[in-house]
Amino acid sequence: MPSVFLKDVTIKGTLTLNDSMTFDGQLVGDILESDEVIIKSSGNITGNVNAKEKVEISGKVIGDVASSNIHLNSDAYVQGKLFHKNLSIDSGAKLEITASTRKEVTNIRGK
Amino acid sequence: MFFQGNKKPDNTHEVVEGFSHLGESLSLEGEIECRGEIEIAGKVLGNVKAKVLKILESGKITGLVKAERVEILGGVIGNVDASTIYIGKNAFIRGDLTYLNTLTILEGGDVHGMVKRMGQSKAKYADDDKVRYLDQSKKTQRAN
Repeated sequence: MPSVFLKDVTIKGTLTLNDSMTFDGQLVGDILESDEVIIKSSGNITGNVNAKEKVEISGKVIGDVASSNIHLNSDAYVQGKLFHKNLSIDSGAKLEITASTRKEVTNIRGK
Repeated sequence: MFFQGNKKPDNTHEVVEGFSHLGESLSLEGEIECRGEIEIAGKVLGNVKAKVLKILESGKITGLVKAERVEILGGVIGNVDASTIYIGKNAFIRGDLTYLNTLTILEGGDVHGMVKRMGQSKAKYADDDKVRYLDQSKKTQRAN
């Protein structure tokens, strides 16, 4: 079963998973080796996010994001570097990013 | 910065419906704190604090566990401190149990450690934010 973290969860540390995850809480730390990460609108991540398949952001991320597909929803706030094959951004997203398209997205391990 | 208006309303004390789930394939190195209910099926290396905590068969915590109500069906290496503790038949615990109201250990539950019922006066789960780390607790265990 994929992981779900609701609003009332606060995590400090590194999450390593080989699965998908929905995150709506607070995280200070990195997400590594995941398949798919969905960050909901109350989600707040300070740290890097790595996902093989997809990252969907509606909340706040301060840190680098690496994934094949990155989608930023209209209420996203992202600050950092993006590494991706496909990037889509809804209108209204608040961004302070540098985005770079890659043929192959490798993990940004803690950098 | 540009986006000062981005501040979200403070939902620190909001009641959340449902519970969080830490999946089987997930391993966390660090602390986790939950104001509601959480199920742990993966591995946690660090302290866990929650209101209602359920450690499933595949779950394993190496660290201190502090909760109002804790149900252990998996493994815990570290002390458990809760108002109500329920230990299932396949549970594995290496550490001290401190409880306030009820302690249930089903037949087959594997517990090594001191079991203590705590006085009412010491029970301050809600406002005790002190975090003791695992290595510190190990030191005190050795000293004892």
